[in-house]
Amino acid sequence: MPVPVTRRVVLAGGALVTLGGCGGTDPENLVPKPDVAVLLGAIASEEMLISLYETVTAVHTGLPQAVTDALQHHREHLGVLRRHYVPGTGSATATPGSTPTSAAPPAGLRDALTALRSAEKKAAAARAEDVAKVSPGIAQLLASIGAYEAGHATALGLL
Amino acid sequence: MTDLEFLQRALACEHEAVYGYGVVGARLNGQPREQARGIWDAHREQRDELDSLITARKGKPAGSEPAYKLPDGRTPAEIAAALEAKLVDVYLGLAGASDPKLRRYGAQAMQVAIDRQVRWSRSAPAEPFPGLNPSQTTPSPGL
Repeated sequence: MPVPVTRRVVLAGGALVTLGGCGGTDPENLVPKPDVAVLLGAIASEEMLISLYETVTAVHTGLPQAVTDALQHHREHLGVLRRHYVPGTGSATATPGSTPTSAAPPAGLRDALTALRSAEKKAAAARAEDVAKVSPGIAQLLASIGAYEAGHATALGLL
Repeated sequence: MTDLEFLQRALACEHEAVYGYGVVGARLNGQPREQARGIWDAHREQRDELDSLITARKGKPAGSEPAYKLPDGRTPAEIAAALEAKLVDVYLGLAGASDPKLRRYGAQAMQVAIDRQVRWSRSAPAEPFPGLNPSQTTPSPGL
């Protein structure tokens, strides 16, 4: 009898990184250091992707819906990642020490899609490596984000 | 859930995929059939790899069923996409294993599965967090 596979998988290893302080404790002190470093890297990656998508959508018209959807999805990724860094500050200012690079917009639409695809693939590969460095709960979040990025990279290649 | 249980779930799903791609391939012709054949081979290898990982952990690998109920009324491509979508979900579990090597294995397998899902469905991921329950994107309350 096959093990039933539900659509939604329960996260392993208990809760995601618990960061809420209590009694004035510095939230960062409650988080294993590798999780913090990896989260910051993932946040910077999402900020870069968002910057690239915003640049492309500002320059090019008639983009496929998948491209505009991806921009919104990456904003959701960033929001969730930031909540895990410091809960309750989902609209926090830019990640300390991280400033998205404002790249020059790709010349043509085809080049723009290629640039987006390349960025998605790079981010997906990074997330797949990150999961080995963090706690299981955060690992699943990063794995899910990486899977989205891999899938979207494929989708961009089909346009 | 233990790492062994995550591996068993993945193996069970790969058994289903091997069966499913056999059905998918039989309903296709030409290049799509060859494509399905290639993926079928890949799933068989993945199945064997999971079998080895389970055995190495002193587990008894889950066996396959004689047949699996596949979705009715769907095209071969839709069936293949659904099989891969299921694998995305099940490998998310493995991405939360206690063994970091298994976590990486699961994360990479998710990406392979979603790549195939997108190719079969010809559509981008519809959800920003594949496999995750929306409620599980919120941090747990602090200590």
